[in-house]
Amino acid sequence: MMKKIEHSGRWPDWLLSLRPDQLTRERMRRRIVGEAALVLRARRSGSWWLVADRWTTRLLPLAAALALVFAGMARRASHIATIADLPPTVDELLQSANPNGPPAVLTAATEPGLDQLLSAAVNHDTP
Amino acid sequence: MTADTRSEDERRAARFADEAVVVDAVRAGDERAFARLVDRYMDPGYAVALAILRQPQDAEDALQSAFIRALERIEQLRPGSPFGPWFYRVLRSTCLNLLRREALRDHDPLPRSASAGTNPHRDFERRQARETVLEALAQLPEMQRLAVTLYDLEGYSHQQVAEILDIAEGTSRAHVHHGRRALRQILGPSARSHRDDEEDRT
Repeated sequence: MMKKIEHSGRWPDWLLSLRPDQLTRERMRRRIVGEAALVLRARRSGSWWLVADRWTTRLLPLAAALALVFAGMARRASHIATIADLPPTVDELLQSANPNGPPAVLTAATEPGLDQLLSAAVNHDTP
Repeated sequence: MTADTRSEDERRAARFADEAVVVDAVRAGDERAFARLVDRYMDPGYAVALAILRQPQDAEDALQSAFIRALERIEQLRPGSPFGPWFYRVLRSTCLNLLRREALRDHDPLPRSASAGTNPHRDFERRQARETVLEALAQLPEMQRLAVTLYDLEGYSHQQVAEILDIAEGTSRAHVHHGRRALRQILGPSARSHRDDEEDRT
C-alpha cells in the first residue's frame, strides 16, 4: 500500500504548544540535514572503496591469467627472434665439389646462371 | 527562481509524494530525499521528544540523534515497511537512552527558541501553554503519555502505536483511553482532539 509522505496537518489543539516555532524548526533542520550530508558523503566514499576492493578481488585471478599468457607469448616471440638472428652454423655449409675450394653456402637460394657457371669453370681451370 | 528550477522542484516533489520512494532514494544516498523525511517528521518528532524529555534543548538534541541513527540504520528498515513507526521507535529509544545516561545538561532558564522570538508576548504565552501541557503529560506514565501523543499527533491506529511502543494492541487502546481521561481532568476540555469521537465510538 502506498503511504503518502505529507503529514495530515491536523494538530490537536492541546498539542499545538509542543510544535516547534519557525526559528527552532530552521535551526534543527540545518543541523540535521548538515550532519546527514556528512554521513551520506562518508558512506559514498566508503562505498567507492568497497566497490574498488570488490572488483579488485574479482579481477585479480583474471589479471594473473592474462599476465601468464602474455609472459608466455613474449618468451616465445623472443625465442623465434633469437633463432632468426643466429649466423649460419658449420652444418649449414656444404662442402664444395673441389676439396680444396671454399665451402658453398647452402643458403644461396638462386641457382647460378649459365654465364656464372662458365666463368667459374674458366677461373677454376686456370692455375 | 527560474522556470526550469521550479519545474525541477515540482517533478521532485511529485516523485517524492510516496514515502516508500523517498526511503528508497535515501537508501541510495539521496540527500534531498532525506531532507524530505526530516521536513515530514521533524515537528511531530520534536513534540514526541519534548513529551518524553520535557526540555526543549534535549528534545532538539535527541531528535537530531534519532534522525542520524535512522539514516545510519536505514538498511534495517524492511522494504515496504512504513518509515514513521520505525522512526518513532528509534526516537523513543534515543530519548530513553538520553534519560538513562543522565546526560542531561544544566539548562538555560530561558530556552533558545523562546528567547529568539520576535514577539515576546506571544512567546511568553506559548511557553506558558507548553509548560502546562508538559506538566500534565508528566503526570501520566510514560506509555500513556506516548500512546496518546502518537495517537493524536500522527493519527496512527492502535496497532501502529502498539508496534512503536512494543506493547499489545489492547494495551495501546487502554493507554490512550486512560491517558486522555487523565489529560481531560488536568487540562479541561482543551485536551480533546479530532479523534476523540472516533475513540468514544470504539
